[in-house]
Amino acid sequence: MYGRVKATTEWAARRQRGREDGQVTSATYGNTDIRVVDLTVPKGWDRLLDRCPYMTRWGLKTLCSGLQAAARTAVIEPHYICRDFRNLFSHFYSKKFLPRDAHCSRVHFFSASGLDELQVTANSDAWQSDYLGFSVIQPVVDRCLGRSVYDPLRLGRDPREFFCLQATTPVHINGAQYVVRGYPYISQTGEALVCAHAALWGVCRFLSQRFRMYREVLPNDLIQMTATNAGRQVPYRGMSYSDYSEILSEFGCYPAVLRAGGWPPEGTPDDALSWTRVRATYHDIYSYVESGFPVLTSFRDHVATTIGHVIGSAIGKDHKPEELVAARPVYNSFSLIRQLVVVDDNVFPYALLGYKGDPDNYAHGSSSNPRRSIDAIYAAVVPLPEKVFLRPSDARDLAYRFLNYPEVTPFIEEVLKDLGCESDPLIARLFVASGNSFKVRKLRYALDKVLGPDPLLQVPIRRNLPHFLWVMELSPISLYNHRHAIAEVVLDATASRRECERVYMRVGKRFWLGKKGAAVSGASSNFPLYTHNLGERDVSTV
Amino acid sequence: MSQPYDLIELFDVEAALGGGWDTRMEEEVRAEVLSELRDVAADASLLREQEDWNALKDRMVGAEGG
Repeated sequence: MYGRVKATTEWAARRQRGREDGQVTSATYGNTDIRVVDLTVPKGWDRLLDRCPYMTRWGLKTLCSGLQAAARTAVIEPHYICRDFRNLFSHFYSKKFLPRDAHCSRVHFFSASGLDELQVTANSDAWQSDYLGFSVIQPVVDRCLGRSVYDPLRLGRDPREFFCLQATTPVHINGAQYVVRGYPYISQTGEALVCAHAALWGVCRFLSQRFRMYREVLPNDLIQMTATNAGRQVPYRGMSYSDYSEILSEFGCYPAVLRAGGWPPEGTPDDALSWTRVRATYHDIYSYVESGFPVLTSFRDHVATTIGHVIGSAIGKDHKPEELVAARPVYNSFSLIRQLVVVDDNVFPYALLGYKGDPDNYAHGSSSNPRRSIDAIYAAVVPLPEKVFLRPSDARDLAYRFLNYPEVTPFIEEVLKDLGCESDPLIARLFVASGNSFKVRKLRYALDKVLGPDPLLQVPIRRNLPHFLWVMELSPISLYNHRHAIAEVVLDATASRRECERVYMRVGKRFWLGKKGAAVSGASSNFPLYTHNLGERDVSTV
Repeated sequence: MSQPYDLIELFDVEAALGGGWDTRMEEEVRAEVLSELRDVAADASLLREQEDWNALKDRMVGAEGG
């Protein structure tokens, strides 16, 4: 550059030599040159720096931090065309004077050791259960991790307590097909892509992979959707959550913006913040996480995407009952959440965002991320579908009114007494589900007969349901920790607060529908919690 | 091996409700909500959100090195 041609990497230099030698055709259509790296040998990970084109020290360190415990073999595709990077190359990098490769590399990780190229390509069925995921490695400075997907449950996360959004991604290595279930991740290059773009790309890619109604967007699409009223779009265009809302609207979502009220005066240190200043807002944000929506979570100077949570079995120390039902304290199920699971482009995906002071918080003790904690969230943007009209605060209020209706509370007391849980605090979990997925899960439970035949599981299956529901499940904590509930209120999420539409309601062996209530002697006193929104799998399939 | 549809009996919701009792739960809760809404001049939570928006509108995130 500036007088001499200098390619950005050794790989690019080799390609450049090929061009000079008139070997464009053979270089372009040459051997895929798959490389296998044994990560179990001394300095095995360091070999990725030499063997994987475009890999940077930051990329290696980031991959190591998330994969070192599980990965034993890396398989490198040195010549990979990534549609996301090619899109950025066409619209941004190609305009630079500095020569840069339009190709990427890609690295796959397996938990099995001793693999070779033949095994990986000829016997993918045998190694599918060892496949951890992949990263595209982009030819950029420092932040080289392009599109990446990893299976969190194969990286040592406990499926009994770790829940997060996942979409299935098919992967091909020289014709061998693998699949990986995970949340899409990309790092910010700091030039064209900033952290907000990286977070938005993850949200949009997750939605387009999971739901057919959303189109796929590429990085430059997001840049083009960024408004110019605050300055040019690239490079280094700082963004606020109002930008996210606008971009997500253009993408096809109907975003809700939640703001942490009572923001402290300017200059207040982040360590002085506490989530307890706005409990109701945090409960709203958590309801959306529990509903399976990726939530863009704004900190003072950064944004990450909340995609799940780690649940414990005890109520957190700063949590208070949010309501009384049948004269018993009811805690929001947020009180059992130890950490939120976030995708932050600065670190390996599935980082744990804890409360301030939590040693397991990914930002705890970090000089570069001193402000990131649950307490330091100041806004959240949720990409809702159009027809979720009822707000979580209204759904919560209505559900509690139904549970506290004089005709209902004696039945709640009766069930608690029958189950021997009278002294337990109650846990209420509120979430959105589609009418269809709610039916699918209830049918599955009815067929599985986990607690014996339970005719009341069929009530929602055989009803006309609205497109979206708000569901509140109520359970004594001992039963909740076994993932069962004693009561549920199902509301029409397409209705308004004024319309106050209860689809149906169940307490133990009793249910209410329209203007009638009934007891069903063959029903069970408790039933399984609804699980679907956060990618829950049967443990046997993990 | 039995088929899934052999595993359950269809539950007749209407028949079960026919043997149940009448309730005014929904009407009374709705009336209570409407009554409360009539008594307030504006939705307090919406006011709070608007207030917060004004306070935070200039905050920027996602800039270089974020």
